[in-house]
Amino acid sequence: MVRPIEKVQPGDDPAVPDDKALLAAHVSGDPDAFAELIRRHRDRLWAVALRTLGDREEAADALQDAMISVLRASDRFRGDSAVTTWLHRIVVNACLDRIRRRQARPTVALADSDPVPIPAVDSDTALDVRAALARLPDEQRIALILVDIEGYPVSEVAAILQVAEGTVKSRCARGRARLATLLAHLRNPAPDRTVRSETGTSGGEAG
Amino acid sequence: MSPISEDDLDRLADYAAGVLDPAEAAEVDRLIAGEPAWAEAHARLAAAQPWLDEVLSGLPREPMPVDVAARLERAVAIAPTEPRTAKVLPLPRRRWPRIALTTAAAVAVGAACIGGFAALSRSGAQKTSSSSGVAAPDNRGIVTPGLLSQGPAVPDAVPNAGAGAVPTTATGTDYTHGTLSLAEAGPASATAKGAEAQSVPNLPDGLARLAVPAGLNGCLAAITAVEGGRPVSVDYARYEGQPALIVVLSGGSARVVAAGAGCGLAGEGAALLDSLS
Repeated sequence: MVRPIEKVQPGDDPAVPDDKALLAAHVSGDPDAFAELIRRHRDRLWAVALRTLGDREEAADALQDAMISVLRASDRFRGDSAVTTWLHRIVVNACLDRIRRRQARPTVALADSDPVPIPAVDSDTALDVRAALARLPDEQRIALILVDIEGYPVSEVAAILQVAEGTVKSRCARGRARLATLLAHLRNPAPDRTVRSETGTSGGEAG
Repeated sequence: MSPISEDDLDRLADYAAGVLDPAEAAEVDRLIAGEPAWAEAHARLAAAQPWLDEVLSGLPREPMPVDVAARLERAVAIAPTEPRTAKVLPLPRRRWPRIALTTAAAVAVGAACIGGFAALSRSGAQKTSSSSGVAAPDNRGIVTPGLLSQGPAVPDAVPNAGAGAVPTTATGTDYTHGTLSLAEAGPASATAKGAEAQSVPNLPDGLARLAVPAGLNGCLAAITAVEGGRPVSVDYARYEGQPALIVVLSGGSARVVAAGAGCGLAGEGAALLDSLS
């Protein structure tokens, strides 16, 4: 079960321009089109950036970097993919850039970064899951966030990450396997024995 | 803790996801049937799936905070309209000035590179220096973008380049984080001091797009948009085995960056593999 994607496209309403029309309007000089495009998708992009980086300040900076990149590249958008796919790709790459730079100077990052925000509605389980997600390899965490948390289809995530669908499935499956190990203490251990006796020689149920 | 190793857990996960080829899947079938540790790991993995579905899909989602949304709106509002003057907004966020500065720096570098590369285009493949002072390929191995396929590049001193020219070499050196700083002393230093030199000093596979002026120009603009500063030198090389552009910067937040083959492409940004501050 994954979170259903909230449709933010205008759908069938001809009075509301779709994403490509908004982008084209922006390239043509419409001063409001780009802001509208961002408003339309910002919550989903924010969710991806925040979950990927785990830090509100860094996520805000990454989104800002990404949207500036989108602005600069908007006239080069060829329409080969959905605008949202393109936007997500740029956001993910901006996040990866920040992660790489953070890894290159870990002491600075640890000293400067704000603590991970803790929403009032959060639970202990959610905190543990967030902490476990942060321990996954970046490529696994990003695939998991997009597919299993944000609910994007594997095909779209493959387009966002520019990898094969099988690679996305593999990254998700490997990430889930690691999460299962990291979070084993949160689960009732009893079902393990039951399932072991039922799943002996063939698999394929994960992913 | 899993009863099998991490590598085996990856293999088991791939098996469960159905992405192994039939022969590999048959081998995992055999392991699950015959090895207690594999059987236990498989059982644990299967049992965890419904629970993982529940907790992952149930994680609370926080909409973009109002302050972040406002900040983003203002950033995109000023970025396209006045990139050259780049007004600094009077906001308390510490990174706002950097956005404005990097925007101006990117435009400046882009304009300079365009000028430089226009000169390069005019100079053609002649092994002379252009009248503007831009370096053309010569027998010292200074390589002009777009002409890298001509042969090996032997790093040398930075030429007396005109405005906007960035000396480039193609050493094929395989840098790591530990040897990246050696690029500042010139690619020859990196090779001499321990970075693993490639046997083929030509343009590494995957960097052909960046060997033409438009590609390199876009990449350098993307890098300076992120790191600020100006590019001092470029080495067509590798980083931890991957084709990479090693760019030494002056005045930016990083001294040296390693950018991947996608650098400058729409959606790729600077494709940074590593940076040294």
